[in-house]
Amino acid sequence: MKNGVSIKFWVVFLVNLLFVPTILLVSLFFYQQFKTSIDERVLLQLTSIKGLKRVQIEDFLEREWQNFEPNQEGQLISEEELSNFAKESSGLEGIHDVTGLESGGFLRLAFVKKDSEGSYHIRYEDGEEIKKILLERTGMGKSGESYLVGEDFKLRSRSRFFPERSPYEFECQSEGVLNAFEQKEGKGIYEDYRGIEVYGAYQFLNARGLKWAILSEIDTEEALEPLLALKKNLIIILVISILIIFVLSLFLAGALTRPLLRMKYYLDRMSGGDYDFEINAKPVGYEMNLMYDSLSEMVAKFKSTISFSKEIGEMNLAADYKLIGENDTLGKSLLAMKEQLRKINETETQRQRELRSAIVSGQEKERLRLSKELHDGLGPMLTHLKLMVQSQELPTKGKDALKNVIDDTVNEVRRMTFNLMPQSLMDFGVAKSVQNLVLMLKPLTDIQIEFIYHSGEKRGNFGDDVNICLFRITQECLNNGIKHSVAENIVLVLTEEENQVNLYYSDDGKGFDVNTVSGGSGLSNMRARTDALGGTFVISSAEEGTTIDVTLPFQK
Amino acid sequence: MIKIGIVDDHQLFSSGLAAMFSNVENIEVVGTFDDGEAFIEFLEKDGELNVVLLDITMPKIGGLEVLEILRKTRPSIKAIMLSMHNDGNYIVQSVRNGALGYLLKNADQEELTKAITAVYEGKKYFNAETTELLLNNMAVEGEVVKKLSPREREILELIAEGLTTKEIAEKLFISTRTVETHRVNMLKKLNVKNSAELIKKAAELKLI
Repeated sequence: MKNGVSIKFWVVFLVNLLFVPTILLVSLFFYQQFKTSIDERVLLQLTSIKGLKRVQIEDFLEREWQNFEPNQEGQLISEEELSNFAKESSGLEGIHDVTGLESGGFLRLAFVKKDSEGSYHIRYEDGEEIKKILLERTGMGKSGESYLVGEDFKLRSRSRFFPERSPYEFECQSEGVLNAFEQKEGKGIYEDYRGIEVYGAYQFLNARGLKWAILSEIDTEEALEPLLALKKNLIIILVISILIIFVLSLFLAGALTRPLLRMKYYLDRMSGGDYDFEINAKPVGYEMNLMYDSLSEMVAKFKSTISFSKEIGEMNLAADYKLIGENDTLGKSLLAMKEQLRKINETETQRQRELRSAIVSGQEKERLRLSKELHDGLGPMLTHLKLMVQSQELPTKGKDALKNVIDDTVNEVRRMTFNLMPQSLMDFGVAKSVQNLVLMLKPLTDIQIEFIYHSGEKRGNFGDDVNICLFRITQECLNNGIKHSVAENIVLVLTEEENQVNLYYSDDGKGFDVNTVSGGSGLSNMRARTDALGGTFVISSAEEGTTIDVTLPFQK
Repeated sequence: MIKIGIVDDHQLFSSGLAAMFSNVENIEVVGTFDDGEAFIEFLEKDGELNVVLLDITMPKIGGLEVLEILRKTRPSIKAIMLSMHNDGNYIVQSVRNGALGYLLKNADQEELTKAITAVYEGKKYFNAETTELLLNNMAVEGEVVKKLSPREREILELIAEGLTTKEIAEKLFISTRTVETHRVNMLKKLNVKNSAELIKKAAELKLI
C-alpha cells in the first residue's frame, strides 16, 4: 500500500462511526427514559403513602378529639396556663403540640376543650398511635421513612435512622418542609434533615389547630438502585456491542479486502509472467464474483494464448488458436507468427529435402559412376587378362592358379559393382534387384530371409530415385539385421499400393534402442533418403525384434 | 566352320577374344562390333554368321534388345549372352528374349568353345552357376503361393477363433508385441489391410 488509507481502515472506521454513536444515543435515551419513569413511579408511590398516612393521622386525631369528653376526663387548666403553649392565632380550644424539652424531646399532644361551664379541660396524648402509623413501612424499602415536622421545624416523629435519639433534636428545613408549610402539596428531590438527597412527597397537615408537615421520603440512592444496575448493564452491553461491531466491521472489511488482496496476488503473479495457477476463490458478493469470473476467464484465455505461444516456441505449427476477441492483438500476432514460421519451416523443410535429395542423388551418381568404372573399366581388363593368360604357354598348374585369382577378382568386382549400383536396378526395377540381393545374401547367413513382393502395375519399377532409395534401405536393413539382430527370421515385404510403394522389414531379433543406438548414421541415412522423396519412415524396436516400415510415393 | 560375331563395347575384350578364337579350329570370327547398332547394321547388309556372342550392357542398343530384333529378323542366328552380370534377372530375361546360352565374361576358352559348339548344334548351354541363378530367379517369378511360418499359422488360427491379442499372448506364452508383429507380418505377406481380410485371404489360399 503506497498511498491512501486502506479500505479495511475505512470500513472499520465508518461502521464504527455509524454504529457507536447510535448505540450511545439509544442507550442514553433509554437511560433517561428509565430514570424519568423511576422518578415518577417513586414520587407517585411516596405521594400515595404520604397521603394515606396523612389521612390515617388526621382520622386518628379527629377520632381522639371526638372521644375527648371534657366533663368526664382531663384536668382543668387555666386560661393563663393554656396560653403558654397555645399559639396566639388559634383559639385555645383544640389540639396543641406541646412537644418540647419537657417531654424529653418526644411527641406530646395536648387536647384542650371548653366544657359547658366555660372551663378548659386538657388531656395529654403521647402519640403512640401516630408513631405506629408512621412506622408502617410497607412499600418504603430500606431507606424510606415517613415523618412529621412541627412549625418549629423540629421533627415530631422518631427518625428511623437515629431511633435512639429524640426527634426533637433534629431540625428540618428541607425544601419539602418549607413547601408544606406554605400549604403546598407536592413532591420532589431535595436534601432531607440528614443532608442526604431523597425523593420526597410532602403535605401540610392541619387537625384542630395542629399544624404539621407530613413527609414521606426515600433515599435517591436506594430508589435509583435499579437505574444503577441498568447503567451497569447498559455499559456492559455497550462495551460488548462496540466490541462486536468492531469485530464484525473487521470481519466485513476482511471479507471485502481479502478478495481484493487475493486478486492483487493473482495480478502480481500474472504481471510476473506466471499464469500457471487456478483461481478457486469464492468471494462474498455478487460483484466480487463477477470480477473473479472475469479474472478466471482472463487467465484461461491467457493460458490458451500462452500454451499456443509455447506450441509455437516448440515449433509445433499444427497447433491451432481461437482468437479471444476482435482486439486480441497478441493472438493475431501469434497466428501471424505461426503462419510465418510455418512458411519458413516449409521452405526450410523443402530446402533441406532438396539438399538431402541433392546429396543423395550426388552420392548415387558417384556410385553409379564408380560402378560403371568398375564394370566397364576394370571388368574388361580383367577378362582380357584372363584371355591373355589362357593363351599363354604356361604350366597348367600355374595357369589354373592364375585363372582362379582372376576369377575371384572378377567376382569381387561384380560384388562391388552390385553393391555400388546394381545394373539390374535400372533394367528390372527394385523388386528384382532386392530379390537378387536376398539370393546373394542367403548363402552368407543362417538367418531365414523371406522376401515377398506384392506386385502392381509398376511391376516393381518405380523410377530410378525410388528404386535406388528402396534398394539402399533394403541393403541397410538386411546388413544391420544380419550383422546385429541375432534373429532367426527376417521378413521383407515390398507392396505396390495405389499411389505409393511400401517396404516392410521385420526381424525376430533382440532389437535395440532406437534413440540411443550408436553409429546411427545408417538409420538417419534411411530417414533422410525417405524424407528426400517425401515418404514416411517408421521404425520400432524392442526385445521381440525390429520392424521398419517405409512408404514412398511414386516418382512424378 | 562356325561363323561367330562378337558384340561388345569393350574393344580390348572383343579383340582379345577374337585373337583367342583365331587359334581354335572350326570357329571363325566374322566380325567384332562395338555395340548393338553396329551389329544390326551388319545384319541389315546381309552379313552372315551362325553364332553371336552378345554383351548385355552396351550403349545405343543393348544385348537384350538385340535378342528381340534377332528373334524377329534373323531367328537362325543363335545367341550366347556374354556378360559381367551374374544377376539371375539378366539370365531369365535373356532366356525369355531367345538367348540359348549365358556365360560370364570370365569364362575360359574351353567353356566358350563348348558353348558355341552346343548352341550351333541347336542345344542350350548354361553352366552350373548360371543354371542355379536361372532357377533361383525362375522360382521367384513363379512364387505366388504365400507361406506362413508355423508360429504365424498358429496365431492366425487363434485370431480366427476370435481371441484377442492379449489372450493369444497369454496362451502362447509370448508378449503381446510379438503377437502384433506376427499379425502385421501376415497382413503384409498376404497384402491385406486388417485381420478380417487376413482370415478370409488365408482361408482362400488354404493356409489355415
